[in-house]
Amino acid sequence: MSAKVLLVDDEKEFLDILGERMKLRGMEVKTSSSALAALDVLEKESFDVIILDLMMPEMDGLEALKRIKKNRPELQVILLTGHGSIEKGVEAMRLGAMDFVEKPADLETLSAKIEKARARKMILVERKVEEEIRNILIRKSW
Amino acid sequence: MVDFPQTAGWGILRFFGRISASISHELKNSLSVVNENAGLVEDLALLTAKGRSLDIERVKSLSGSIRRQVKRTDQIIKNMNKFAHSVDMEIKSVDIQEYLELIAAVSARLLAARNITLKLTSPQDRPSIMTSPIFLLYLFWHLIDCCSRWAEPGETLHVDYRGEGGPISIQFQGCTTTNPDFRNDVEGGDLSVLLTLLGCSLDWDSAQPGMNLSFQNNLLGKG
Repeated sequence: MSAKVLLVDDEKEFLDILGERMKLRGMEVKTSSSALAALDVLEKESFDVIILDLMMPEMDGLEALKRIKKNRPELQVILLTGHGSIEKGVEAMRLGAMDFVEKPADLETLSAKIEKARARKMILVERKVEEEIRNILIRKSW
Repeated sequence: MVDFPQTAGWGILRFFGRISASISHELKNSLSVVNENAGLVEDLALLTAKGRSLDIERVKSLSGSIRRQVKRTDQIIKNMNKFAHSVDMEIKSVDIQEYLELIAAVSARLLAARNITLKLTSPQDRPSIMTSPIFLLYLFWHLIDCCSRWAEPGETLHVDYRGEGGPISIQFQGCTTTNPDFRNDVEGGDLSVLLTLLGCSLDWDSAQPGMNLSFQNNLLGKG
């Protein structure tokens, strides 16, 4: 099963071409040109990983990351940025980002991080399911 | 010769830093598009080598995209260059409209991040004024930065420049906040130093939300 990725960036040309290249590599890709549009998409669909631009109009990547982690803590987020500041990187990790990649990004490196993110999400989902089963067994035990 | 005091030092360095950071961000975005275009050309070449037919129109459109980014990057660098050269001379003849357009261009990313639109209107003739280019840019940026920081997302900032046959004035309108901290923000920092240095005054419009920047005279007293 291929990775399901949501790409979020306000640069439409970048979004379209990166999306096309990721599809050529077998990934299932959806794109959003704003953080607000991405949050709407996340209400309706599930993804393995979100690639999120840090600087966007209306809502920046860090604010979007906070909201994503609040509603979908298992979802892995990789931040893409043209600003490589250490402070932003630390803040992003503190808020729960899986990784922080500087633009222009190398797609092979990004693809490896996406695979790692997908694996991490699967582990988190499995643990959640195990926890739920354990709780059911405890509640139903006699 | 006008003596530029040290008190404006840190504020102006921060201004230069913020503009430089914004420009570098724009350049990175442009490079990212070029990078992905180049990557896709490589991908298509690999697929063609494996037997898939080459979509010539797709290749042409990628080439078009690269050209657009080259044009975009060229303009960004032209603006950066103009901005950098604003410190070449302490006083020179300045086309105010040109400098308003420059500040609008280098602030574009900041304004987009705040979801604010900037609309510049100007008179048909474009008078020049003898003034300090860098401090003029700093003053314009300070006013636009404050207005856009306090404006509601989605608002439009109107910068209306008037100068036909009379004293030059620039109206900054569109920020409708009634928060008193807005006024404190505008009047704080290096504003009073800048107004003195540049020989201008800033008045608050009582009829509608906004302020008026008036240039009393050219620096060095030359008309």
